Amino acid sequence: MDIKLELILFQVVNFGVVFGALVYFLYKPVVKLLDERAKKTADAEKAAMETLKEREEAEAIKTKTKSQAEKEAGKLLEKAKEQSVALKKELGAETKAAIQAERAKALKNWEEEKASMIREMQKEFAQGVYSVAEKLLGKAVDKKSHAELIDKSLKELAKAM
Amino acid sequence: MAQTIIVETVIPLSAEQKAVVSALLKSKFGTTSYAEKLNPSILGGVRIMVGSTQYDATLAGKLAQLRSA
Repeated sequence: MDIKLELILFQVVNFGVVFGALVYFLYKPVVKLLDERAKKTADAEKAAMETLKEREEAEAIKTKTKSQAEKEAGKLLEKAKEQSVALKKELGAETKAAIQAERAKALKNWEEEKASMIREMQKEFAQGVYSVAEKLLGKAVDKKSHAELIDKSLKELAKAM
Repeated sequence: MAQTIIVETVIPLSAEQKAVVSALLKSKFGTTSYAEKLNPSILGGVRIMVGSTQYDATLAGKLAQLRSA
C-alpha cells in the first residue's frame, strides 16, 4: 500500500478547514439560536408564572374586597334598619306628643273660654244685683240703719286711716 | 295752711257721732274742724275728704269696689 504523506496532509487540512467553517458558520449560530430560544421560552414561562401569580393575587384581593364589601353592606343595612326603627319610634313619639299638645291646647282654650263666659255671666249678673241693691238701698234704708252704718263706717275709717 | 276736711253722710251726724269724728280727725290730722255734707248718692256710711285725699267707707264705694273686682 502506497501512503502519500501530501495527500494525508491535504486531507487533514481540508477536514480542518471544513470543520472550522462548520463550527463557525453553522454550529455557533445554531447554538446561539437555541440559547436565545431557550431564554425566550424561560422568559415567557416566567412571565406566565408572574401573570398567573398576579391573577391569583388579584383574585384573592377581589374575594377579600367582595367579602369586606358584603360585610360593610351588611353592617350599613343593619345600621340603616336600626336608624329606620329609631326614626319611626321618634316620629311616633313626636306625633303623639304633638297630638297631646294640641289636645291640651284645645282643652286649655276651651277652659279659658268657659271661664271667660262664666266671668262675663257673673259680671252681668252682679251688675244687675248691684243696680237692684243701689235702688233698694237708696229707698229702703231707714234712719236707724243709716246711723248704724255711719257708726260702723267710722270704726272702719279709724282702722284704715 | 290747714286742709279742708269734709265729712259726707246720708243723714246728719248725731252728737255722739260728731264727737267720734272730731276725735278721729284730731288723732290723725291734729284738727277737729270739718264741714258736714249730706249726700244721698253715697247710699250709706261715711266718706271723709281731706284735701284731695278721700277715705271712703260708704255703701256706694263698696258697691263700686265689688263692681270693678
